Amino acid sequence: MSANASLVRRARWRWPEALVWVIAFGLLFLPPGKHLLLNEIAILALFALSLDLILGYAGIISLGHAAFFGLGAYAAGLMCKHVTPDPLAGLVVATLLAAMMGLLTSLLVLRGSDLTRLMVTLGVALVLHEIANALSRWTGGADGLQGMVVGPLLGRFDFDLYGRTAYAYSLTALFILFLAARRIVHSLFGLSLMAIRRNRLRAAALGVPVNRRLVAVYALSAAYAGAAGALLAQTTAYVSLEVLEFGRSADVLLALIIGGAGWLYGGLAGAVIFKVLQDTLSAGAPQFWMFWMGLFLVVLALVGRDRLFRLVRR
Amino acid sequence: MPSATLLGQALISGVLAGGMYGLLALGLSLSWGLLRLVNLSHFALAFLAAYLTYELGTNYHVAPWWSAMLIVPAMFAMGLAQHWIFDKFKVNELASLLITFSFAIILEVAIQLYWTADYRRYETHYSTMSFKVGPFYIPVLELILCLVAGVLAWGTWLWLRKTYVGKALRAAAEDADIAAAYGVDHKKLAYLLSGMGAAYAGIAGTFIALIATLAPAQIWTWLGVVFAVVIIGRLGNPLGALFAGMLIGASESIAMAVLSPAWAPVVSFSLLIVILLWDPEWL
Repeated sequence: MSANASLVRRARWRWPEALVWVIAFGLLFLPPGKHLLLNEIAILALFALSLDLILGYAGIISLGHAAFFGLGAYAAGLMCKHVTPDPLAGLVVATLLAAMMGLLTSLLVLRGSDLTRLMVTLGVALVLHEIANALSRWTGGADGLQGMVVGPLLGRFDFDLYGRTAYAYSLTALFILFLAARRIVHSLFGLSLMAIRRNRLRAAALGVPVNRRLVAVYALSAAYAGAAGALLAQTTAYVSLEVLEFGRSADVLLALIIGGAGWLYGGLAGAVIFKVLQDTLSAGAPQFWMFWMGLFLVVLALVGRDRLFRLVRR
Repeated sequence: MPSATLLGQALISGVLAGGMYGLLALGLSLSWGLLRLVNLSHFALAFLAAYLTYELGTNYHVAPWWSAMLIVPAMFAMGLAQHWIFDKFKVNELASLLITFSFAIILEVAIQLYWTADYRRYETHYSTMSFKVGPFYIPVLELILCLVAGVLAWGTWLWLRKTYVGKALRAAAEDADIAAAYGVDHKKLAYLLSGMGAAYAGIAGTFIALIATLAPAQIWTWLGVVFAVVIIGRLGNPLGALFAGMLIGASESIAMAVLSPAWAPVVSFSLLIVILLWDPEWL
């Protein structure tokens, strides 16, 4: 079978996939009450999808993906406060800025071994966190960025208290970006990424421009993360330093590991499981949620770790 | 520009405060460099030791050096137990990161259940003692900490260089198969090293109890800096870890005096990023 034919075969839509999206959009018509949670799930799903692009498809593990998420959130927040309240404009600007940041930091991240990379991603996020903290005149520092008044979506739909508009907005953004990601990973570009993930040296020997491909996918992933951050800022009308914290990078990595990296739906499934578990378990006591999460991770890492570590070249 | 006295004082306090980074980095650097295990639970163990020191000190009036006699061996045992899991499941570098992260979370929850999330402070009269050299104040406790860290780092360095066990460990880290062919029992040595790393966390914990205010979430505050210290000092090099700790401590403190306190945390990672840019194979 030629490469082209196999790509076409894998890119074909199957009915369970369509069903997932029909259900996701169907939840919009739920009576009010759960839409705020659904909105959070959609945003985490987009964030996890962005991590999947680099972890699952290019084998780059990141401990600091919140850097781009936070940048997007602050960009959207500042756009809203100082330039225009229109959410779409903010989303576009935040996405582009995050992509540029991704391009810039890819120069750092792509140097050295896996572990160097791990530390540099962690470092970039920590440095951004401290910069955001230090520039409190702009970001509000530890108090957070307050006073965002987000305009109506498309000039018509106001963001309501129950989060229905928010969910519709986030889900639509997720859907569109997911389609784009799906198209990209099933293209020759995506195939070359997977070749790089499996064996970088061999891919280079076959004529794949390894570094250029990695830079491109890193910037793409950064853009997705920035979009997710912007969605969070706009739908909650608030940005705090928490968007850049290590915990956020860890959460998204966990969500992706739960769902499994490298098949796009992993981030979505992981986000649903992660948020629903968090919502139910932390209703009683927040510590227990953490405890179960920790225990679950140990088991996953010890028993089912092949699912993750098969993907990461060692 | 601040005065020379202020700068000198900042330098001294920074170097002394950096001793804590170095002490925490010591155990981490050993397990990462020689066993290829990234041990995030190191911080949680240190805090567990700190809380135990606090508990014994406040409720049972046991002096910190006596409680350290109890706590450090206990930590050694915990290190062994943790390594047993790693050994059993043949954990690699990246999985170890994930697993020890979970251990740290579980320990954090345990600490929170017993000691609650409130801030705890172990009040001792020596925590504020200091003496004066010329125009500079030198805190006694931090000085002792630096001496202890120095002795440990130097001792470990010598141990790795000069003794058979140390040489065998380094050989096994270089190439486990070849070392095994020469009769190095890598597994036993790995247990020893894991225990030692945890024991160092215990020693660091004793000092944390005396110097810092304790809260469960504090476990994560030093993560970034200490990681940077471990890498800047080069993995598996105890003296490097200590010097890197003091270097970072000093640069943070100077940044605090010259720029503003908010910029101090940026220093360590900026330094790390510069080093990795300069030499990507530094790790």
